[in-house]
Amino acid sequence: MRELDELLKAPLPPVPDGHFSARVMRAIALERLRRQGATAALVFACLLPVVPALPLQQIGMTLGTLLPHLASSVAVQIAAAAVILSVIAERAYAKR
Amino acid sequence: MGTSEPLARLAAAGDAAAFGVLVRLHQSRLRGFLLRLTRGDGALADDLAQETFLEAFRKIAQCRESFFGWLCAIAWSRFLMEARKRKTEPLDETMAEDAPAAERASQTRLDLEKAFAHLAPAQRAALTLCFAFGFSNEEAAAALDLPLGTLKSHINRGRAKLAALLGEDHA
Repeated sequence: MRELDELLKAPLPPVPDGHFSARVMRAIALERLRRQGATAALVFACLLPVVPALPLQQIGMTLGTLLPHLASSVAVQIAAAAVILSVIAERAYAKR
Repeated sequence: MGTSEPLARLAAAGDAAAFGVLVRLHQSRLRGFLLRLTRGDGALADDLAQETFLEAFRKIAQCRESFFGWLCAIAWSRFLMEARKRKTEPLDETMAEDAPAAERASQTRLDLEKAFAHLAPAQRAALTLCFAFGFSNEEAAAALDLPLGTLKSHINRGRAKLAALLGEDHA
């Protein structure tokens, strides 16, 4: 049996990848996309019945008066610039 | 601990690139294992391997042991499901135990892979995990979801049958 055991212990012949890994990762990406789509659809379906009950007109009027003030505020402009710079820096760091 | 377990933890944290590395690291051994289980059906082995990796990705947070051992456990259960569905192969050992005597006599010089095709699936799996992959009996029993005694019995019977099929030189 010793010779047989040696034969059995030999590693299996290697199977060349031949794009197999890429195919698996594509399938995984597709599945993630499908799952994200399903989640988004679920959230949308849950929110849909609430929309008619929202005071959209009042919200619109409030935003209409508030936004011009916010846009002309120096503090808001500095905060917006800080956010944009942070995002750019984070992306540059992630690429490295 | 191997290099796979830290990668599995990264993958569990949502790092798909880490999972990609795991796929590249283990695809050859996993597909080799499935090739043996499917008796050389490359297309079926690849389909099962892909399903195995997809299921592993979905459940990666549940991986608590050796990543490859866990992967083999998923592959084995996928193979069993497929075999039951196709009904192309007897799964229980008694039915697959013996090739016809005439065939056996004419095939005393079969090479190892051909001889493997005459074993029951659980014998193929147990011998591959314990010998080719170096799993301990306990690890293999866990991967195949079998009691330790049953696993040892599959190994002993599988070896005896291989020895008979390969001829006296190996016995």
